[in-house]
Amino acid sequence: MNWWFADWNAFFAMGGYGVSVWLCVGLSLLVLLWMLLPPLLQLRAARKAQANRAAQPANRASQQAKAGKRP
Amino acid sequence: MPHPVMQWFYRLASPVWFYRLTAGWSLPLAVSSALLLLAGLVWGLGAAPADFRQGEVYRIIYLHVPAAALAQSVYAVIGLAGAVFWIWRIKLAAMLIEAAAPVGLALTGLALATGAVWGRETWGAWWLWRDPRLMSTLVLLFLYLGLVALRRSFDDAGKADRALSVLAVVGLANLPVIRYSVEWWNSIHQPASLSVTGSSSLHPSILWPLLWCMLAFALAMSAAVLMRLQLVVLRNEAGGGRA
Repeated sequence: MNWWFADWNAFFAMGGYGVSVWLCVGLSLLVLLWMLLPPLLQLRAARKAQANRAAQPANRASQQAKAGKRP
Repeated sequence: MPHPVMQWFYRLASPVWFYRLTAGWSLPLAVSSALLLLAGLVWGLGAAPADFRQGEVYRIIYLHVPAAALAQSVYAVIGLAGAVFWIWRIKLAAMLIEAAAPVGLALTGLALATGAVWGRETWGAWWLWRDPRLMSTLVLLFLYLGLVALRRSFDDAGKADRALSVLAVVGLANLPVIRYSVEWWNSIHQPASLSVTGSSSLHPSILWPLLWCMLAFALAMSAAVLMRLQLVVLRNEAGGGRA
């Protein structure tokens, strides 16, 4: 794979179409980030909440056992 | 005893079974898509040669074509899921429509936006109201908007699922219109350069980075749909149940 451009300036200028090309790159990265990041964070939070819910009855049972109550 | 394939199909109908099966898939998919996209963009933007007619501005295809192709693919999946829900009333199919619609909406918006920038440089116009490819893609955007809005407008998930499946199946009719619009009508948009069955009109030095970027977008789309689907399943299990 050979580099097409002579230098970094030519790469960023994109033959005079730099604004258009880099605008599209920026837009695409933003959209992909929006597609992936929020559901990833929400999923982690939802899994944590689910784990907490699953742990709650066990915690309550152990607390009740300590207090001498029947779970 | 049903056939093993049918057994697998019946099991897949269970959202909980599906969630357990795919719980660890989304992060590797997202990470691999990011790495592939980075390599694809370096290849397409920096190493692929310039187009002899359009010069460097053609490099927008490395973003526009994957977004446009996957926007239509996502709708094909949504339409299929709509049909599955119609026939077998499988809840997971309805959940898939709900999860995939925002992703398809984002990809269609991206395809229209990058296409507008490309059109500004090559045709001298951001948008052409009379172009059948542009208009049919705009219809696809409205279909996605309709799916997202329809899901939010119902409190009863069961009713929402039925309405979504109808719209999903009806909207399938737009896909061949998008695909063949450049052949059926007089369009300024160029015909397809890529073909699944025939040969491509692109030079391999331009084609391979494009296919690479399409794979990266496909993985990102799969990760996004999968994560949203898992979220819908988890929320459903937590109490926002379906009828």
